Amino acid sequence: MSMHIDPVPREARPFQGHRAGLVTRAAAAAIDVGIVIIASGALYLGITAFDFLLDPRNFSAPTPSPGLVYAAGCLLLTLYLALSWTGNGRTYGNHVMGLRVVNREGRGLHPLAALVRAALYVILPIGLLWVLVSGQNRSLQDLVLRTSVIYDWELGPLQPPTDPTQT
Amino acid sequence: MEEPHRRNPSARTVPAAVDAALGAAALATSAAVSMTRLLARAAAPVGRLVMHPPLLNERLHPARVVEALAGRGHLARTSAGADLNRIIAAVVPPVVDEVLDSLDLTALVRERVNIDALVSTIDIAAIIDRMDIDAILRQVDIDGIVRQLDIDAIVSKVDIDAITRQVDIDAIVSKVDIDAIVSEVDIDAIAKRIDVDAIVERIDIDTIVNRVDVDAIVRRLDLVGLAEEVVNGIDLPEIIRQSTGAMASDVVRDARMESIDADVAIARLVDRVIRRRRARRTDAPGEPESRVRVEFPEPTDIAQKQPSPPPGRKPPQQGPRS
Repeated sequence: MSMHIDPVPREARPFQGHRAGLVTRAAAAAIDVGIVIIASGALYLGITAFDFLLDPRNFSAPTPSPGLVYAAGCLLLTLYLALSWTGNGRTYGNHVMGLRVVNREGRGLHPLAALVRAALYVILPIGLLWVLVSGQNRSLQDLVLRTSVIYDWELGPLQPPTDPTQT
Repeated sequence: MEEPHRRNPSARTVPAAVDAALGAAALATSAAVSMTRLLARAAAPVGRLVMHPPLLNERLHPARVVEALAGRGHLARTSAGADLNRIIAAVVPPVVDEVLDSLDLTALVRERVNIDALVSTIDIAAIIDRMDIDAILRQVDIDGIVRQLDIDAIVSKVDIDAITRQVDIDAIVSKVDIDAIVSEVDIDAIAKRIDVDAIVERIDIDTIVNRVDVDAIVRRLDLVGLAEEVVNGIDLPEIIRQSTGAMASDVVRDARMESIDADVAIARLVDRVIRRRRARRTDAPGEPESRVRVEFPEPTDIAQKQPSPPPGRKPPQQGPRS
């Protein structure tokens, strides 16, 4: 026998489980991009330090081409998003903004679906703007993969959806 | 029907010849009487003339002599009759007693009297009508009779079980109009007469409480559900936030709520620009079951689909629908 105490403030409870709007999702995406940028810089510093340790005499800071930097950033962002959505269904940006990505059944995404969704966002980030005109607050990626981004302020793993036939 | 005890006994003892002789004698006597009456009627004028000669003084008539003789004879006859009555009064009672003693009157009556026929001629109803039952009852000492009765002995002989088995309780009860009886009972009056305070004072509350299985009652209560409802009702997260003073939590919460409000405002603006007639369907599958939901009416216009705001917060411009 366990008791569930709703940690969500009362004023936010009516919105829980509903698809989020553009502002919240964009803010979460901005946080995620910032994190990836920071992580990329850290990665660059790490690689640079590794090169220095290998050959300190002939050391010179690596100067990757913009294309390589963009490609590496996109890859890193894709992996970050895919891994985050596969786990708790939320990236750190989602966590801060109280969002969660779920599939059409309200469950966590399959790793492959998460990877495809992350790639689609990296390739076509402007698809997020479809939330504005969508009658269901869905982005183009959501429409393609039948996913949803919902307000979910609860901490911890995703709760299994309630079976309507049992209620 | 022939009745032997009424048959003439002489018919069995006297020969027919004697009866014939008696019949002949009776016939001769009757003829003689008729002849005598005829002769007396014919000789009546002669007798009157002899008894009352017209030429003689009345005092000298022979009829006076006859009357004098008749008076004397009457006197003698009456005195003889008185003597006879005295003799009869002295002689007859002992004789009758002797006769009765020698007879078995009971057997005689039983043999010769048809009692049934005699009783059938009696009008019992008329006799009862003539009786003063009330006067008879007034003379009866009912209390004395009852005092002499051994009620316990009588009751001990009564088979109560047998009587009870023969009584159809169901039939009796079915005939009783319980509603009518109850409708006549003044419940209010009865309740007013009950001294509730006295009853309560006589009740040992401690004994009753000791008998109550509190543990069983507690086990039957949904304490978890009750506590959950109470906690959700008092907005425990808000209390914790206020008590701990978590500034970071405040910032995050405010940022989230502001972004939600911005989502609603922008969506509302866009819907107005593109003239969306139907409300956005933002409900998604898989929401946790403990979430509090606000029921939204089915909108026909954007302006009609605002959710009920939580207490203490400004209503959003466009809220999610469930």
